[in-house]
Amino acid sequence: MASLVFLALRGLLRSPARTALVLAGLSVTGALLLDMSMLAGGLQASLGAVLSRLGFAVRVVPRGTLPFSGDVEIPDGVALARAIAARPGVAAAIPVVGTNLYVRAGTRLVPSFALGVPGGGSGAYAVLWGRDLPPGGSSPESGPVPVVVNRLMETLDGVRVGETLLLARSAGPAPAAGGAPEVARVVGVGDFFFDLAAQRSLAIDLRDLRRIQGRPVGGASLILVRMSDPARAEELVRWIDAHAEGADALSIRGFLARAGSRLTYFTQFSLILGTTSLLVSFLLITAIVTLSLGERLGEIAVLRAVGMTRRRIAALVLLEGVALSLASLPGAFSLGLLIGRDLDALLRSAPAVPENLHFFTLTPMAALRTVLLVLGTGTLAGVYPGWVAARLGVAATLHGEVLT
Amino acid sequence: MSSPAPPPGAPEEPSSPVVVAREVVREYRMPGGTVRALRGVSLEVPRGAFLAIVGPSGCGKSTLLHLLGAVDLPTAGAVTLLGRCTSELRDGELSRLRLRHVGFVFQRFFLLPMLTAEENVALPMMEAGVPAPLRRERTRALLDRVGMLPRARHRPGQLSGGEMQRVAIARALANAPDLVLADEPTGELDEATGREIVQLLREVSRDGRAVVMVTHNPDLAALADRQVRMRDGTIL
Amino acid sequence: MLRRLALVLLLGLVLGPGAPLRAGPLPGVAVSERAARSLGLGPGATLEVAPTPAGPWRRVRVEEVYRPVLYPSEVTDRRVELRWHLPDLQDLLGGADEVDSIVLRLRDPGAAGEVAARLNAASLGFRAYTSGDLARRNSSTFEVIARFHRAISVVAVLASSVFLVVLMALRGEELRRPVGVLRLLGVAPRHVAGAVLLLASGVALAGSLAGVGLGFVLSLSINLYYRRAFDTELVFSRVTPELVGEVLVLSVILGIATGALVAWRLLGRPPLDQVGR
Repeated sequence: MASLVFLALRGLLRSPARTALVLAGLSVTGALLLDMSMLAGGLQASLGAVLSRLGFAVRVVPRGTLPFSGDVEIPDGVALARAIAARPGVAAAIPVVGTNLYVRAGTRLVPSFALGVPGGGSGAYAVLWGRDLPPGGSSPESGPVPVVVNRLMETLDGVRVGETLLLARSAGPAPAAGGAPEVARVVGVGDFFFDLAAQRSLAIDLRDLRRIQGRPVGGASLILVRMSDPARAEELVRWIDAHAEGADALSIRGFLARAGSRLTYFTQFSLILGTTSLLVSFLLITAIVTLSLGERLGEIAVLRAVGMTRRRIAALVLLEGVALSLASLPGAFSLGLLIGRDLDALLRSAPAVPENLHFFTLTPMAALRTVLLVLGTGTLAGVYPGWVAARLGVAATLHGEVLT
Repeated sequence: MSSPAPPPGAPEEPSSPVVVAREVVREYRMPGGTVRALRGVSLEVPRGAFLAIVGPSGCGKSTLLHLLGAVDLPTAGAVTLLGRCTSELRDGELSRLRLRHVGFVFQRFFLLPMLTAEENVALPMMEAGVPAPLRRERTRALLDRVGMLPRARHRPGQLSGGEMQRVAIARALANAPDLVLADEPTGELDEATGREIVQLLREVSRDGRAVVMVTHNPDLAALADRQVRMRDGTIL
Repeated sequence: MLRRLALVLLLGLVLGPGAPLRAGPLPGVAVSERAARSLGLGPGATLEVAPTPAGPWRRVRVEEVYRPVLYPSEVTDRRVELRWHLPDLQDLLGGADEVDSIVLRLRDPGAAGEVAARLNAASLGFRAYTSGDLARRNSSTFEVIARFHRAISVVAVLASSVFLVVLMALRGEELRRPVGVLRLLGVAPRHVAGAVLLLASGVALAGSLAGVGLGFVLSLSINLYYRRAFDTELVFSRVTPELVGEVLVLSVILGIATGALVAWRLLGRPPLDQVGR
């Protein structure tokens, strides 16, 4: 085996320029394959990483939805959160309401996403500077409602800590159904994790938000659950599904599965293009190995004359295909990561894509899949030329080589 | 004619021929009809013999050489190599037989261009599983024997025709074969270099190996111990 | 037939010029084709609807089944879609006089931009868009997808260009001796170069034509599959004459470039070297 590997590798060096060219071609197709592997589960992997970092093992949403995908709420969400918090293995259950508000800052009227949380320290966002909402929420008598705004509101709208804002449900006169504008004071600036590129967001106490909405406290758009014993997350999911009609409990895995079902375009696209890349690589290696075989029939015949068996000749040619694939991997990965970075930036420029998410994510599985597919293709591509080489008539070939 | 294979490990009788061809026929089916390259040729090659097969182009010399070296099989008749009938052996067995007992030298040298002279010589030993230290030692000895040790690290593209053929002879001797077959070894060389090569082959036969050389050059053929003349697929 | 139905999204669209669909005591609704198929509904069927899973539940009657025109971004949506008479829906949602949008039909459609600008200037608490503005906003995702596809196609062209160069380089090696012989016989280098250019361009063109054919078949398959999967008449893939023209021109250019490279290599060596002395 060692002698075959030695000969196969030396065979690559026979014509360095040509080998370099072939490797360039294989690197490009390998890069495309890597990109498609990254794309296939990239958004889910990226989302999973963000979700895991946030520290919430379970999320409870209105049945059949994803968080903030509509106006539907979990009925009695606040009460459900209290019940969940009492379950074993649960550290905290935070009911959250998400809705759109208009924010008047000076003369500017800015549509914003408002996140209603039960006081500061919820973990639904991270305070960057300033301070968080008061832990127990504010009371109407204590003056302007405290809010934490996101960085975009600070950089694009010039909103500063300490500034006064006016929050309202609509841009025009107050709707007849209730709710009234509220004066708010900015106490801090935070990172809201899933903000879109130009999205303004603010965090506000849940009761203050309900007052602005003109709705009673009780429902929730989402319940975030932090586990003291993460191993019990699935058990909690089952309990919630059994006891809370109108709500779905999602572990991180379940969340990703539900999100994944809405990303079929990328999965199918990556499958089609990945298959095409493999096919091109296969054709390239087969063509190169077969054509280069034609140039050295005499050498093959001599190896057979020296005593190399048909099987070993076939293995030698097969190894050449594998060697080409193997040698192309560094180039494929380097190029693939570069191209993937640019493609990722391109796709992230689409509307409604949160800033922290990526489409092209290099996971160990994506890398392994690429390596195995590339090596497998190289092996398969060597099969036909290997068969041709093994069937070579030694005497006839030697005679033919002399004549030519 | 076929003879039973010798028991494993049993030494060959010193006087028994290395290779025997009995009434061998070799035919090729072509689109225009069947071509008979050999028409019932019989030949024995004893150990230590230096035999030259001479004849005009197309008389079947190379075909006979290929049959003697188990590179090809006869259409009829039998070739017995070291007591074993080649027609009765499978391809793997034939390969092993060639690897350990037959060395080839070709007109076109057929050195692997991506290997150095040293590596070309070592190749059959690698294939035979000779350990690396022993391999290195034998390779250097063989290259020294053919006068190519100073050029051991050079690739074929950096060698002259005569130098390449010397390396090819060293390669043919790599696994200490019983039989060395040289097919027009001087065909690409000038007269003087050709003589040197034939002298080298003569020395090889003095080591006790059978050497069969195909040539169309009567002057070079005269340097052999014995000449066999062929014409139209038969021995004259 | 009674069905519990949790509405994920309610569309408060006016069905006609003020004509409610009430027929009898139950409010009438129109159900989208997909929803009707998945829920087994037809005209005359009744169902219960609610704004939240906790209620309040209201019974309605299906008056008709309609086929909505979907935006491309909506083709994968599996949501149930109902059309209501607006007062019925507002009544279900608690009676507030609120709508998500107001659609205007103008006497002079050409004045749409001017009307939108005047409405926006009045700062009535909403924003007005022309249909063109909306189409552009809704298409922005697909513009990104289109750019993405173009980027991928550039990479694919790069890979196939390298493929072509490698193949022609190998062919060039095979042609080395015949070219050397031709030159020794006196054939002019420019004729040799021309033949090589022709060969390379021919290979590239033939490959591209085969590729166009394959692309056409794949395009048909893609449309067939996705139209069935998403139950839509949208066209997902289209092979246009302009695209075919682009592909063929590009292949000829690549072929000529590759052929030039090979010819340059072939003619760069002395003829005697090419025939191997």
